Amino acid sequence: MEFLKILFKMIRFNGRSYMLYLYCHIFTMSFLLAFLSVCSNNSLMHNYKIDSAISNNILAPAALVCLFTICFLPYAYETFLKERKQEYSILMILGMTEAEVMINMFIQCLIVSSTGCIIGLAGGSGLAFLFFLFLCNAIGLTAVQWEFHMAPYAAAIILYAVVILVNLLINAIQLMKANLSELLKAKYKEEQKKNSSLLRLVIGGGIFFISLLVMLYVYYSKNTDLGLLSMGISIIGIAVAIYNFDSGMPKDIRKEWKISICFLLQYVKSWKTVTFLSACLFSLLIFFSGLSITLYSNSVSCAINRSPYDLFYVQNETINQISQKELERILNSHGVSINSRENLHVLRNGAFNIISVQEINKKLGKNYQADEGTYIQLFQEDFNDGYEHSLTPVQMLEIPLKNQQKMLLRLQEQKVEILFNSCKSLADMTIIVNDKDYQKIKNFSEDFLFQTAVLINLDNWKISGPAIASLQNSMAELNNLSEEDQYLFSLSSKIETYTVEKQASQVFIFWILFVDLMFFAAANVTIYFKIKSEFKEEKRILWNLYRIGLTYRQMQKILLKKNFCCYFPALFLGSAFGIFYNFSMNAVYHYGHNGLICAVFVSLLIFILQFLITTLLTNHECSKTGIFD
Amino acid sequence: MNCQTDILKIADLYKSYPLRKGHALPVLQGINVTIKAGEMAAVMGASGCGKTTLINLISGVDRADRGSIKIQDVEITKMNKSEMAVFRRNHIGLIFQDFNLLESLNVKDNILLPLILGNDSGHSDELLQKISATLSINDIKDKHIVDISGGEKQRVAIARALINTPQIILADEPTGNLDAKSTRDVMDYLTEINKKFQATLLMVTHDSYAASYCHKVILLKEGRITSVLEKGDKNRTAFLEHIYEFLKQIGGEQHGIS
Repeated sequence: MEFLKILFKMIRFNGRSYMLYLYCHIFTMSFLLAFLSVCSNNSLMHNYKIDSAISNNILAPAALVCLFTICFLPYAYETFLKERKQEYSILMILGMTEAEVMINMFIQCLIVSSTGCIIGLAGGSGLAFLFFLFLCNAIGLTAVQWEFHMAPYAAAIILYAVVILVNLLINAIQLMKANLSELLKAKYKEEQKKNSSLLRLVIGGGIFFISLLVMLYVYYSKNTDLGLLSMGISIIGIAVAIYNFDSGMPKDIRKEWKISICFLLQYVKSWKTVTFLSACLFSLLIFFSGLSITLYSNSVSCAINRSPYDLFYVQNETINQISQKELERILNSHGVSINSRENLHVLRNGAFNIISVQEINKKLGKNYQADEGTYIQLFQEDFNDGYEHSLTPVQMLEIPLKNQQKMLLRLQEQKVEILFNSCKSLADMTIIVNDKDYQKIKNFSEDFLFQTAVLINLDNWKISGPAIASLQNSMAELNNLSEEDQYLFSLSSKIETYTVEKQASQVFIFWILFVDLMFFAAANVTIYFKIKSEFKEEKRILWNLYRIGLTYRQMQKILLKKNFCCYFPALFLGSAFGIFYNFSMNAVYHYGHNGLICAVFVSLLIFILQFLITTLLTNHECSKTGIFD
Repeated sequence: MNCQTDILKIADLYKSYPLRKGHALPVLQGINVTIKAGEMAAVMGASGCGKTTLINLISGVDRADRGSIKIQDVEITKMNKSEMAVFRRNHIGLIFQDFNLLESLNVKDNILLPLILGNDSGHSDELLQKISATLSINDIKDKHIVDISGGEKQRVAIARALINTPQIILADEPTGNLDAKSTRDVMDYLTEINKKFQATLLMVTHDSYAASYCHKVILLKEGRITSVLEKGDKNRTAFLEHIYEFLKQIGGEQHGIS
């Protein structure tokens, strides 16, 4: 009983540290559950009414949140434990056994993590509901419904528990193995033992330089997967450089920065991990924010390019057979009229659409040539849409005809051009053949269905949304298909592509905003933990300086500069990284300048925000010293 | 306790710390010491001569490479960490240069901590009262550690070392962080405790003045015992002069002993 009383007294005394650690748990758990809940929402993820371009945008941010949970919780615990280690060492010297230490650590961890878990689950549920409201009302995804599943709760609790237990076990073993006399000494002794070397600093710089070369190759090869490799190499290079940076530091730091930096220098080695981690968080924050804003502006214009016709649908003998008169009536009733209409005949099976070259040239105004027995493979891709494109053509086609005959077609050439809208009623690949071959396939192949693609241009596509929705309903009534089959024959329109792309970009920005918020808070908490752990020593130094004439204003300046030294190297590094990669990854798609501007804009915002936080923190620190009370 | 009983017996004790590339730094090289019950002994020597290592080995905080340490005829070098922890809380009192008090607890809780860890705090009030009175810390028992002076902190640390009525008190530079007055006070208290509670004390110090309070001064150089000075019938001033004289002869100041 006495021991428990002592334990709770210790918890109460270190209340602020416990609260900060608890906030880390609540915050991480809330985000984890909210993102997992969204991922498990069937109406968003498995609904044919929501375009996969929108729903898939949650996957990368959710993966980042899981990764963050795995990395941040152990770091927060380690930092928290670092403050507790000296207490544990005193208790162990006074006779606390290893088993008692383990029980003590377990009880503390259980109290904090179970409280964090419960509040986090409640917070996460609330956050998930906010996400749902935002998707429905602000983005306009009315097909998304609020759903409650146990699976995300179970997944979040399991991930959370595994991370905490593994981490607790590792730290407990480390504490048991540690030499008591060493543990009793400096808090940062373990990190200070690690020596830096100029050679390793140069190697770090070299690795970073290699990452730049890889990025240069990415630019010319247009392979953005290698861009991620470059980012990985760059992070390794920066880590090696940061862990050895003090070997290249000037020995004589001048004048007014001297005192501020001396606070940092006395623990300079122990700051390496903090700087690296927070720089990584700032880097990802700036990179993803810049990327999402760049994508927003580009993807909308790409969406228009991808839909050259304002209205596009496929009809066959029984489906989508709406008369021209009825079509015009529906459109006109919503104030939209038809400017032009073309019917394009298409043969399709599960893999290919086959179109006659004469049809393409005549109706779409092209001048393609396809010899008999050959074909042109058409890739309807936009190279500047920010996605990877595979342009490997099929070299030969064997088409079965009636009476067990076969028709062989060879690749003549490939064309990359968007001729008409993509549509769920068409196959993924399109080939253009000579008219004779087309007729032969049409007449003698049982594999291919004959369809007609209707290509319509309207007088004003921007106001065509309600008209197209009404037309879609009329066609659905006419077709009388199941909802899923009707989905395959749904209309494709410029307004829909534009809206979906806009919504997808907005949703992506929205998710990234939350991930950014999480990274920003985590970077700040990481640094704040560190500043807090050194405050006692700093207070002692400030008292000594006060005795030799330090004024309040001077103390404020010293602490402000010191805090700048704590926060801003990581922020500068993160900004440089985020801006560079946002520029270079987007430059591959000719959006480098947009990427640069967006990343610089985000960086400036973060700098302003960080400046305000640093100033507030400094004022708080000044009052906490109690020197001028 | 019989003053003739050997309470601490160290025989052929070796300790080294590993350096890079397979080398080792020898810190203690064949230490042999015997301390009798109720005796006050000081270990003096220059920085790095192995004084603190010796204290750490005796308290079981660190492990010896070889040799034997017996406290009240119990061999402690063979104990595992948990056995050592229990032995430490029941039989050893520890005093440190930088006090090592828990700031999260008040003075009383800090003093009672070894008993609380051993689930033995039920009948401690009388003893606490007696020790507090001896060390003049009755008035600060409810204060927090951050609110008391350095001298008071060391007295609290001494009280904590005494609370489990240990067979031996090990003190690592107990006056190292204190001014002259506080040093004198602490040494007076330790002497009083030695007499009143028959506590055996082994302390490590740089300070000849503090060492002059002891019955025996062990001089350590480069991990070996070079001399042992006995107080005998001398009073403290005479013993202090004897220590000074001896240090002068061996060039003690050059070896970091004042």
